[in-house]
Amino acid sequence: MGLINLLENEYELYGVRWKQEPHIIMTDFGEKRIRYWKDEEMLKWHVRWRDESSRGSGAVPDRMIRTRDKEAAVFDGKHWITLHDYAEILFGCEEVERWGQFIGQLLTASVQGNYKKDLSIEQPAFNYYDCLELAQKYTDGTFQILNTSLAEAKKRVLFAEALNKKVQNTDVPIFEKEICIANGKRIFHFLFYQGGDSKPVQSYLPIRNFLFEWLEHNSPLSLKMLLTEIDRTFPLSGDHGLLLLAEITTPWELNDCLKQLDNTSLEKMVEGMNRYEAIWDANRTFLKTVTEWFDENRRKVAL
Amino acid sequence: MTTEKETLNYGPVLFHYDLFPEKLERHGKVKKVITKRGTFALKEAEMNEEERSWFTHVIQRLSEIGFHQVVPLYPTKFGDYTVQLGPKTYYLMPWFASDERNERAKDEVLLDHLGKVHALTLKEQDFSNEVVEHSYQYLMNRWENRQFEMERFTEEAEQKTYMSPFELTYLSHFHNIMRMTEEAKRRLKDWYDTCQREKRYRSVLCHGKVSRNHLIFNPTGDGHLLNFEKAVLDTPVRDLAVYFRRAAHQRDWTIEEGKLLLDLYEKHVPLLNEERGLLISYLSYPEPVFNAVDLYCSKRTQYSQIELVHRLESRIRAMKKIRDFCDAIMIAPPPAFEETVPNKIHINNEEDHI
Repeated sequence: MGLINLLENEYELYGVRWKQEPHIIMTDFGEKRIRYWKDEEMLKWHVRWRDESSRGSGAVPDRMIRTRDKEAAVFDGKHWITLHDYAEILFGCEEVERWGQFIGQLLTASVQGNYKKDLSIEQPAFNYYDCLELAQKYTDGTFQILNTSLAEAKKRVLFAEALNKKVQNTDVPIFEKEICIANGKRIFHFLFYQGGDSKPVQSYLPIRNFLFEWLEHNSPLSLKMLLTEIDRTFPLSGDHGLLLLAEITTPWELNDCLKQLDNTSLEKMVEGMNRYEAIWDANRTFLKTVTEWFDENRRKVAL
Repeated sequence: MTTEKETLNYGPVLFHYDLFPEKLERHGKVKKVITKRGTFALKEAEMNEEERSWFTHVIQRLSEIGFHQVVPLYPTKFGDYTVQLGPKTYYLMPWFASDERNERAKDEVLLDHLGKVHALTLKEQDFSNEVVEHSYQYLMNRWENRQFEMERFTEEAEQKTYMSPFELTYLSHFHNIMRMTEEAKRRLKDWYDTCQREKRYRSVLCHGKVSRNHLIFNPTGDGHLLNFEKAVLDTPVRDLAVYFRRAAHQRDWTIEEGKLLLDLYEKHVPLLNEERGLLISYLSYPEPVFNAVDLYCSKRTQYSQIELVHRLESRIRAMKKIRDFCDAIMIAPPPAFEETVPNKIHINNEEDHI
């Protein structure tokens, strides 16, 4: 039995045909996306975060559509197959409160449903000394930005470590590896978030990256508004707020900056340094905006 | 008529069912959703997570124990039975058009179905002095506090040189109202004493909001119950009291009709003596009259005196009918049916109670 037949049978669909083989199909209920899974535990985790983070939220993640037997997936002999809604229109960044609500709900679900059993998880860790080693061949030059950024990065690493130590008994939640604005689509007037199928990470790095991406597309004020909206659904004043702040403080961008450098010629080195400076500055604005928000929020609570 | 805004408002809910409305019609808290795939009823409710999970459990459990006369819930494409959006909860059911031909039989079907639900979920509870004591004290305190408020209202009215028509009407019935209050309290005390003596009480799944409006007929004419949002495990008397109190307010309701309906119910669950006493107690307590006084005190500027007096008089009339009904059911012998005990009265006797 072919895949189309299997889907028609299991999901009670009619007139199924490929729109974009092997991922997008047309059905009598509209366009749907197919995902293929090899690891059952990972599939279970992806079902779970989607189900949990959809509760009560005005935003809807692309949950697994249930089969007629109310199963989240079907097995075709080789893979587990799941069916999802599919949309193409981007949601954009105008409706900050909807994004804030979604991220807040995602954080709530991830913290409440910390689910590790038999699940292969990555725990990304920043290593300052690896960066130092990488930077060594460039530090002989007179590039001021390199020296100041390395010193600043060290300070930030120490600050992040201190924050992490403060909340060492709090478990870091598990997230999808990539959470990005482009995954936010529009159906009616709500935010439909198309998740992925990658191996999850136990780290606040995906949230950090999302917030940074937000700032790339929007103003610092908009980022603060987003944090305020997140805080309404998932209070950032507690331990998890500190964990997020620690992740944001960690100078992850140092790796990206150093990768830009190329000392094969002076021209390339200057070009690389300019890119380095741009990345470093953008992250500095990001860190400044987030820490300002945390300070303002703390003051509000104190008042 | 459906506006684009309405379609957008309900779009996020109907998305969960893969439905796109061609037309939406408002029928109270229910929306009639007309789509290419058929016509549906979308109910809007306010339930917290615990209530939502209990509500869906109740609907599923009723089907499992063999009661199929419940309007079914359609699952979403994600397998949920409710959709939560902000503070609101939604659920989708088939749309049954109202059928005037069945209106007359509605009360009979309602009581018959109620009896079936109660019989299927009936369970003799392990006696808990704490539970009985708490229930008794809670209700008695509430009733006494209400009685005290009404007595205070009476005293204040009596001190006036010129009483309002409402106050005058109330005062002329005051002694009867207080007699009913005392009767309700005495019956409640009797129930409490019997429970203590017999060390027993029974619970059923109560619908919680029994009303003619919560029974509808499908196209083949079978009555189906709906709106189990307030369902609760409690004495069977709870649902009966809600039904009879409401029924007595209908102008053409008669004691004979009430007795027949109670007999119909008791074909499924014959009431124990103490339960009959508790039903009389619940019915005798003149809460509807007290509520009319509350309305007079709080919103007298919004209604005319004549409206308030009419409301009060109608409630007093209903209470009189209820008092006569209570007298009739108190002296009535237990119904002599061929099968007085339903076959499956203890369907849940394996610790499998709803």
